[in-house]
Amino acid sequence: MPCPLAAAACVWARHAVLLRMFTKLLIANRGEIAVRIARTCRELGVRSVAAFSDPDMGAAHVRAADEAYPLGGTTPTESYLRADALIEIARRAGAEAVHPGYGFLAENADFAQACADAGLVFVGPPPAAMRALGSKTAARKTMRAAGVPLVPGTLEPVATADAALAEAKRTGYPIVLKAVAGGGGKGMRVVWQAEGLAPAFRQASNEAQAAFGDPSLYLERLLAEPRHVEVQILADQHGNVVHLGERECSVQRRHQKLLEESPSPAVSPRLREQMGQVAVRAARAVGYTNAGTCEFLLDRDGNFYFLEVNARLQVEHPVTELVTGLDLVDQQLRIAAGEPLGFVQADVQSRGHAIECRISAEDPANQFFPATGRVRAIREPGGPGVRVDGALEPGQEISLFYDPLLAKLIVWAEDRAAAIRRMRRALGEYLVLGVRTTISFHRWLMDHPAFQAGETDIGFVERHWSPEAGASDELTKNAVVAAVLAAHGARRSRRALPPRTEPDGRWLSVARQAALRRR
Amino acid sequence: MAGESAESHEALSPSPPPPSFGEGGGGGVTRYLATVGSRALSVELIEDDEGLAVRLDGGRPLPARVRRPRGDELHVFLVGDRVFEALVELAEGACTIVLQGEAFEVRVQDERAARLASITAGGPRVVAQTDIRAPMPGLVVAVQVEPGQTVSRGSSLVVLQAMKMENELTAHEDGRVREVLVSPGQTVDQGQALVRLE
Repeated sequence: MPCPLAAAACVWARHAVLLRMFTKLLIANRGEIAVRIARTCRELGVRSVAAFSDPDMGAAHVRAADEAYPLGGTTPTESYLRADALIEIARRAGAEAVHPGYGFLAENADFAQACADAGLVFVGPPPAAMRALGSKTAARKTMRAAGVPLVPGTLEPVATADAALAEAKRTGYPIVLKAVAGGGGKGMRVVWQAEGLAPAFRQASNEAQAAFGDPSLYLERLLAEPRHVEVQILADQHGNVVHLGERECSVQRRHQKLLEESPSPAVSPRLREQMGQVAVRAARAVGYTNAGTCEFLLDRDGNFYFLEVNARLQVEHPVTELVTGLDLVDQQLRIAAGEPLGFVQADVQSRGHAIECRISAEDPANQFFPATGRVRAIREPGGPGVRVDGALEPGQEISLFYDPLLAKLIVWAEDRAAAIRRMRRALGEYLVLGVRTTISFHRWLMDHPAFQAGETDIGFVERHWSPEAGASDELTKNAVVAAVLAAHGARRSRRALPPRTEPDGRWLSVARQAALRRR
Repeated sequence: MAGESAESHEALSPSPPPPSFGEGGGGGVTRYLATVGSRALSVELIEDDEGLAVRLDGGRPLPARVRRPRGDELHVFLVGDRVFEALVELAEGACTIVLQGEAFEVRVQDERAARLASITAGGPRVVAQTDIRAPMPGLVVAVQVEPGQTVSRGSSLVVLQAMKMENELTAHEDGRVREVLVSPGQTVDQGQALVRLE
């Protein structure tokens, strides 16, 4: 039972630290994540500043902020990747801090350093930690020294396809080529045998150059059907590091996550504790602060291997928020402002089950290729346990310039089965017209027996998904009836006949008649 | 369901509902052929002074009503006692129906037009050609085939870089390369033909 005095002291302490919170913050991002950050800012009383490219004038993230400044340009290079322009905006707006979101400049140590040099607080880890983690080979060396288990492979970049061939001979096939500067599956290729190595090396290297400006690759052995399980950590500037449990992100296609959930169906409380401790150790090894994610591969025998640390807020952070009850952006801002963590490891409790489906402008029926178009109309889901983090709205042009992620649909329920049922219901409510989305894929997934049984690994989609999976017979028939009725109605109204003067609301009158008949 | 026949069929559609359509003022029957994917269904719309009924694939006619509660593409359909909502986009040739998170492309033809089309299609067959088109704008990184080369389903034709990813475009079916329309280094638009197969 807390004594009233202690409680009063606590309120006072909290008030005192709140006084140190920023008054204004620049959000150096766009889309759903910028909207999400702006929302927490508003709750905390922090004024938010948006920056926008030419096509984004008037976009949802601009309207979510208190102030907005033009960046100009269209492509990311012309706009959201312009570190100097962003810092100049922060200065002009009088912002004290910069939140980079994810993607764009979020894991760019030079940007973090430039913010610091300009007297701005970068909401993220210190540049030194980012550098230590940004090079995947350097990170592997550091982690090995800290006793973090690694996937077998090289600790140095492999310079040529021939060098990779020699290394692969040692490791054994299959292997994965990965970008040294990489992340997010870009510049990454699986090679099953020696013959495929040279073209894969070229493709991965080109991709790495295009995505990160650095073509270097390293090599890892490919584990058999592992799960992708990651641990969320929070580290303050006073040496406190906690983990917030795991997220399972095994449902992927071409290394792009499609769905995330917490807890993982494959992680026992004991394994969670082990993985959590290793993640905390990994964070300490590089002097990490703020929110971060330690990614692991988990094999069938419960062995886990370090993949990388994502030195940013993750796309999938909401599933952790829903099971822990924490607002991770709020935590990020407090940490960046110098507050100590308000809780210890033992206070972190995970409750129920959360699932996130990424709603992307990609066509599942056509190899998940990016889809473009103008959003004509939407209807978003709602109701108990449903959260939509998005910036999707009618009239919006979906271009190829930016990430295809349109929105995230996240549900919480008391257990996994209930969460799946809830997600299924919410996906059925989600209607998007004008651009192809991954909603149909997710509906298929919710009904898949292997997914329902929690039997997911990173090969799940390749093994099970077939674009012919298709909709149920009843749904198809309803669509046909809807199409004919709508087309017929349009055809008829084209014939310019005088309108019938009938009062509207005949459903009501019919219902009334029906009610009368029942009497 | 007992009251169904006695129930008045409400006029279809949102805004100003004209009294009737088709052959004359008193109503009538319009037969449609709806194609979704490889599936074709016949749909009859029966209209009289009381309203509209729909008959799917020779089944029982059900009273049908449509409303647009938001005044936009969101349509509510009441067919018999079943209610469902969908986003609807009508275009020349095909309707897009977004229903329970699924998107359907439905081609609606009236039966006469469908019959006509099937007669035309019965003419002498030409060698089928398929163009492999760019699914998105991008940069051609590599062309993996030459004219005259035979390809089998799944073989790689062109590598296209877009969204910072390299995407392999593959043959959908066995065939022969008739023409290569692009070369490495070339930027292509969405929908642009890259390779012509026969």
